[in-house]
Amino acid sequence: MKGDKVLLLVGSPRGMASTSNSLGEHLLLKLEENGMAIKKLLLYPALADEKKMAELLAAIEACHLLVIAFPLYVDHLPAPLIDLLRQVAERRPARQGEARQSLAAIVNCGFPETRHCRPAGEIMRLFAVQAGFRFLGCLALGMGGAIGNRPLAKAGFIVRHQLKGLGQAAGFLAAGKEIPVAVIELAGKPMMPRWFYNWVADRGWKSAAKKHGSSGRLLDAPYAGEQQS
Amino acid sequence: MKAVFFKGSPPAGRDPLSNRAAAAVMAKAKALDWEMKAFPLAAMDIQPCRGCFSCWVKSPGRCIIHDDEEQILAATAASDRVIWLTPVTFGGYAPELKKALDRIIPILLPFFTRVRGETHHPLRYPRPRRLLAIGTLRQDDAESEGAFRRLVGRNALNMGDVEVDTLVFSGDVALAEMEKQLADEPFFRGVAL
Ligand SMILES: Cc1cc2nc3c(=O)[nH]c(=O)nc-3n(C[C@H](O)[C@H](O)[C@H](O)COP(=O)(O)O)c2cc1C
Repeated sequence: MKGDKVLLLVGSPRGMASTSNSLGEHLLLKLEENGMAIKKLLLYPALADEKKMAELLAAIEACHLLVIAFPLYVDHLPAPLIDLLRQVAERRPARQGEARQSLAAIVNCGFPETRHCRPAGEIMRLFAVQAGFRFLGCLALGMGGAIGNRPLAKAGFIVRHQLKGLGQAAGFLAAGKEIPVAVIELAGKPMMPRWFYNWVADRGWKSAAKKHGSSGRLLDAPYAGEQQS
Repeated sequence: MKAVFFKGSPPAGRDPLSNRAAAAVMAKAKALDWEMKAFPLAAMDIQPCRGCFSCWVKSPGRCIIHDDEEQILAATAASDRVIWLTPVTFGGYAPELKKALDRIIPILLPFFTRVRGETHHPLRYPRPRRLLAIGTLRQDDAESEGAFRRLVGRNALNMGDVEVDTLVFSGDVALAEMEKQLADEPFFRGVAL
């Protein structure tokens, strides 16, 4: 709704340099265009800073719509984000079922297939149910490495589906509505053929190793000695 | 048999059900005379993953953070059996287990390979492993349990398509009952791979 407060929480350790931030920031701008009052906070700087964590928890309680953007880690949310969600849920036992606030999420993963993100979407939905948020949907996309830390609008032709999908999602979220499946599918469309993404990624690992002088050691097995013990 | 136990029970006393499941696992491994390394994750110094991929491209196979996760990596590399224990949390793992799993990626190689039609990473220490994931739930919750089982299945695929067993204890399950259920698991029956 117009004037309602939206909080974007960026749940990547890469902070402002993350794909999560690029995606979340774009959605946030679109929500602002739809008349919402926007605010963004990063999770990781608050982990070792009690004051920042208290601010973050207070901002979560104060918003109408919470949007969490995060990377897929081992098919799931990064540990510090689960920890935060557990804290939020524990603080809201009396709220269960009330659903005064809404929740939406954006997850991106490094593999090219969007479907790797499915369990994370399910976990976000169960969190919403258990913590008393109305769940409006989880946008998900593979090939996250292709975006990197660029502003989404500057990532060019490859992100045309994502730009369109996030734009449409913002319209629904601002109206307090669930993101339709068709919009989630649009935002999750591949940015390029899978073989090409995988080829670029493999080259990327090799050139990063070269930069670090570890080219010949990529297959090193430093703990292999343990196997004999 | 070399086993590694990711004991993801919350800090002492917070979750008796999870502690009971941990005791059942320890007893079972002892009875089988397994060489098991058990890691009480809640009490260990394991920093969050920084997402820098140094463990793949800068110091291949090693994380740049030097803390208790190093022992876990070494034990996992050498293991035939891996056990994860966690309270089911929103249908997934609690942060105690997850902080250790986020830091496990040095046991994978950066390159992409195709597994059952999907992209995954090859293992740095290939070895026929078997995984047992145990979740605890204070009360029956079919939705959370279903999500947990699906997540474990995805992880098994992602970690070298390992053989996997999933067990969920829900409600106030007694220790003897847990031990009985564990004994029935193919994981503990010493099935050769
Ligand atoms: C510890 C760790 C675990 C990861 N696990 C997965 C995974 O299970 N599946 C996947 O597709 N990508 C995985 N990735 C890749 C990230 O999801 C990917 O790099 C993403 O684009 C990072 O987004 P960010 O820039 O917002 O942090 C993992 C990365 C790290 C560091």
